[in-house]
Amino acid sequence: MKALLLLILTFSGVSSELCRVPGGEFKPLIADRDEPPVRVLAFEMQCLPVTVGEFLEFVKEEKKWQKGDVPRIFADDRYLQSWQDSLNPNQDLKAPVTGVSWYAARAYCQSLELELPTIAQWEIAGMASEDRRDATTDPEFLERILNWYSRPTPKTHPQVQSTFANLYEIWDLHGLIWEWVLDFQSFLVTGESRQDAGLERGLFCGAAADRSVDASNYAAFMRYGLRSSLKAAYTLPNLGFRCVREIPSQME
Amino acid sequence: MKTLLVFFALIFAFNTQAEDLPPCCAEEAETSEALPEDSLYWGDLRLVDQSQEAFDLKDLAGKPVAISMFFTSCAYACPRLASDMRRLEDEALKAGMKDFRLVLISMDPENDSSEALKKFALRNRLLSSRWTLATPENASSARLMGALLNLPFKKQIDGSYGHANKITLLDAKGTPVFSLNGLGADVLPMVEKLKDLEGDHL
Repeated sequence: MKALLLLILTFSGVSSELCRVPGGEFKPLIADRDEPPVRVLAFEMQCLPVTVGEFLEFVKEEKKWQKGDVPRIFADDRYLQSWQDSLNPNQDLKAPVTGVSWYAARAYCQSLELELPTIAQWEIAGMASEDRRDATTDPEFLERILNWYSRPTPKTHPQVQSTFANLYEIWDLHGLIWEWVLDFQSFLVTGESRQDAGLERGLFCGAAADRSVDASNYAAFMRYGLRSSLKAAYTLPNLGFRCVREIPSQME
Repeated sequence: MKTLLVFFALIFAFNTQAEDLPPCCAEEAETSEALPEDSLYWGDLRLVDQSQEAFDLKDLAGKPVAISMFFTSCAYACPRLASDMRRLEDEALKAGMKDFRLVLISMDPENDSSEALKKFALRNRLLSSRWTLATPENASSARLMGALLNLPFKKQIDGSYGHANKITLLDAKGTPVFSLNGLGADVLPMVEKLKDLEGDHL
């Protein structure tokens, strides 16, 4: 069944195609000053965000994830809100799918034997510009991202492959939609937690300054802010996803 | 003697019958009919417990469950969390309740084998038959458990985990009805909720 779905997607020539991202180091936005960066192994990431058409194929196979059938625990009531009904997206099939919860995004990836990217994986891919692996010190690149962040969400999304492809030929990491990550929840905790999860005492005041590694990267800060405000059942009209796969040869 | 034999034969017959059901349909009958929309048991999660028994999250259905997440190499918070849950068990027993489960799910599938779970249970005296310590099959499943419980955790550079300390009470069908936040919380309000659930069985 899974293999069949994979086959269908492969033949329809859409974005289950994977692009390779070499490993690297990721400095978490909020970290202790002496905390070393996270090492990320090379991995493969879908070159395009998951499209409406692809998600439609998925829900055709998996009734549980259809609008109207998905249990409330897995998605709030705005799930696939722009769809006319469970099997009619009523929009451009090549637009990125949005309005999906974390649970639905994860289930989609798993149906292809893929996984949602971790924050570290996503950010490693997302820090590349057209010609640099790490463009986070390039003011022009950051400016471009921030310009997009400052624009309101359009009523309908343009098709995937409409912004820019980075060095790894991965499209639309910035400028089209926001994307789910596997460990979005982990942003709420930074240390061995002694009390509850409300640890980011300094995030929005001065106390954060000595913990933040890279205060100049305001774009990363915005992504941090969004992720930490999410719950796994939330759906947003500008939040979609793409999947990744570890490269097996380098696993022990 | 004869009746006993018949009895055993019957049990045997029932067992085989249950096993003969194709897995697809047995599952469907269980989930789509019985589960409320906000039940955690919708989560498709495979686990292995401290006795090396594999089970699905939804197999916990049937009794109220106090559930949390931990990892066995955790030196400070998790033993305290376990002791909070043990206190919950004691107080609930004192209040005359016995039909409930206590469940600790590992957020560290890489290291928390059945053996590690068993050691943690021994070390922290989580020994009554009410206790289940279990590890999800991989890191992604552990993330799913964290999402279902709304319990964030983060792997640290040294391999340990930062995590919220939160005990959630699920009713017999897996719907969260109450939670305790933080270590050393007063368990009595949860005992009260547990009383409310008394007689709440599938």
